[in-house]
Amino acid sequence: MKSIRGFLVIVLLAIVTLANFAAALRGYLGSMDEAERLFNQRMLQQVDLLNYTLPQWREQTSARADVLLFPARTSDAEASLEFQWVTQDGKLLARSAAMPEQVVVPLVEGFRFVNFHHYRWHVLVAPSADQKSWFIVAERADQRYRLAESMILQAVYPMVLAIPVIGLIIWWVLGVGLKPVTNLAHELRQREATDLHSLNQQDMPAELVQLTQSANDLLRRLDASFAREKRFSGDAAHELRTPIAALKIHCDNLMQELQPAPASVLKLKQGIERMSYLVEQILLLNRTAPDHFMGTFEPVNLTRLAKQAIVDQSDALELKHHRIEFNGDECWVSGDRAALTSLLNNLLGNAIKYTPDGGRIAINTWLRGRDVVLEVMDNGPGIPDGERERVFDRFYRLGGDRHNSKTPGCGLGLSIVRQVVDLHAAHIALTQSRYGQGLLVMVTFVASAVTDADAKKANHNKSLDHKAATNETNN
Amino acid sequence: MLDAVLLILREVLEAALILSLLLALSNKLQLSYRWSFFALLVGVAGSWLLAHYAYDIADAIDGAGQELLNAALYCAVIISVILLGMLILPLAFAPAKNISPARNVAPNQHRLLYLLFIIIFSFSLMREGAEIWIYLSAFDHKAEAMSSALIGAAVGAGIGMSLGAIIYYVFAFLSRNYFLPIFITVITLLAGGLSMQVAKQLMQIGLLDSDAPLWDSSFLVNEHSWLGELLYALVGYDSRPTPIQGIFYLLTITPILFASIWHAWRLRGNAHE
Repeated sequence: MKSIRGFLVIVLLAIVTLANFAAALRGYLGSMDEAERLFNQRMLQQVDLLNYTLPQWREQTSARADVLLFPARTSDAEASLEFQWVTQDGKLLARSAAMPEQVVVPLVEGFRFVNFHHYRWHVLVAPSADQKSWFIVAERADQRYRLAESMILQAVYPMVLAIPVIGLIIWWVLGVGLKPVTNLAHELRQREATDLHSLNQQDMPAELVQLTQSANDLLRRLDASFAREKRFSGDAAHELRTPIAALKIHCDNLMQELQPAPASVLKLKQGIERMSYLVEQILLLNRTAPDHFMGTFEPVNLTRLAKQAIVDQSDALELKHHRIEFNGDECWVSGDRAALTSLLNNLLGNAIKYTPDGGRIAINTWLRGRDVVLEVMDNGPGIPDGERERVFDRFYRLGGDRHNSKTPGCGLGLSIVRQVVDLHAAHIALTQSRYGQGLLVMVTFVASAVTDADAKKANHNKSLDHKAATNETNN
Repeated sequence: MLDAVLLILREVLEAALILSLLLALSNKLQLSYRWSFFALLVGVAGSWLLAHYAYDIADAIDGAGQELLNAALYCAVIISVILLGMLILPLAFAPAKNISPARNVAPNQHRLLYLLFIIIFSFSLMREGAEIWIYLSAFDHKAEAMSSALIGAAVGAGIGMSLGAIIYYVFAFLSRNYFLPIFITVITLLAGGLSMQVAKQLMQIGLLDSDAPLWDSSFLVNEHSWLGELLYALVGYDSRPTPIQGIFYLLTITPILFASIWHAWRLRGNAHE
């Protein structure tokens, strides 16, 4: 059943049609029988009328030896009654114009059908009141049938015409009756994924109360569970920051005290750095989660942010002897600067981490009509087709724990990237790099219109950035 | 009016039954219903063309055109029904524990299924529809009789379509385990009934000899009674079938019958393993 309304309309209409048409047929058959009886009655009355008039009139004109011929009716009629008047020995005394000159039936009392003059006739044979002669009254069967049917069809017409009207009424009434279900579905459809407040139970019909209550219970439990999860990951990461910082200091002290530092201390230091990175990533993931994102959207020069990301990661690039290229147009998007920075850092960081030493990396920003396309491309090992959707899952790493890149990571980078992409209503695609091997990540944003004020503000920020960079170099 | 009701009901009911069965099967196999619109369109257009050129068709091939065309249409439907039965049989006999893919038609067979659905329904509709068009065209110049015939046609079509809708929902609500065997039984009987019509058409033009009927069950159910018309529409009931018709009937149901026995035997063998 694809639609309750469709099912009910079709089944109800089918039942109404069957009942209605069965009643119409029953009525038709019954009415035809009744009409038959009435028409027979009319023939008997006709015989009575002939009985009243013909014998007396014949006496007055008894001198006549020929057959009396009654003229045909001058006005048009749908049906007419014809007659023959016959003596006991079968001699025709009188007839109406439409009747033949021979007696049409044997003189046996009763109703029967006879064919003459190319038609089928319904005939009544009855003796006269004085039992000395016979009256034969005849009516064309087709005229009689048509007359009866036209009368009865007047009652059947409305029953047929009523069906579409009944169908429309059923459709409308069911629409009204199912309105609460439609409203409930509409309310649920309109909701944001994060909107978990209770459904309105006011004016809810009894059939839906239980469903709404159960849905509300479920929403409440979900809400509480999400809140717990949010609090836990955020709080845990935040609380871990301080002890990790303390661990870092103690580890540095230990390395200073134990010269040369033993291998286990070096491993301890690596472990602490990895844990610190993980905590920072969890916090970032938490901050960019759509349900408690606190950033502000403003026109952002994405090209500048990309260049800045290259500058920020220059040490890592140098360490692995990668060659970095930058190309593209000056592109502006409406977004959160901090979130976009983490997106770029994560994408570039991944490219640096997973591309073998001396690799090639390119960052491009292109303006394509109303879209801005950010490309991060490398000639590293790439990601197989079948894994490209899964790499966005939290804590998912290609090859699992035995990641063959042997680079530290926690499997959250692309989850953060996906969250930032979703926050900006952008689109991300992972494809084959144009270097022949490796990965090409394409993020498509909607371009932002830039006003003079935005450009000025951006220039101001640029000069501040430049100053900060100069200061850092001097220091 | 009554004649129109009976004639239209008989034609509409047969088409509605076929459509209901095929739609219910689409429902059970989670196939699209879009084929039905296309088949309806082809069927209505085809029936109009058949009615429009009825005299030319009847005069063709030494006056045997109409019968040969009818027999060809019936044969196309029968072959499609047998093919459909062969495709569905493995599903009906699949072990209940198998969810997929043994319990569903392979995706590469979907196109073939849609094609069979369209042939079965549109060809049946063409034949039935053409008879309706020809019947109604007889009242072209008799306004009064035409209105009576139209009312009768509306009543007959209404009853036929309503029964079709109810049959569809009965089948749609049936569990798959019951539906598939019932479906196969009904289409086998339907194909058997149609094969008797093929024999009848060929006997009418003298291609086959019409011997004395095997039996006469008209005293039990007259072909022209309401029940007879209903049985004719459902299983092609004939109260006085000739031996040739009987042979055609057996030849038609044999493939599905043997395939059913083979599948049942294989299922039993698997169960023992």
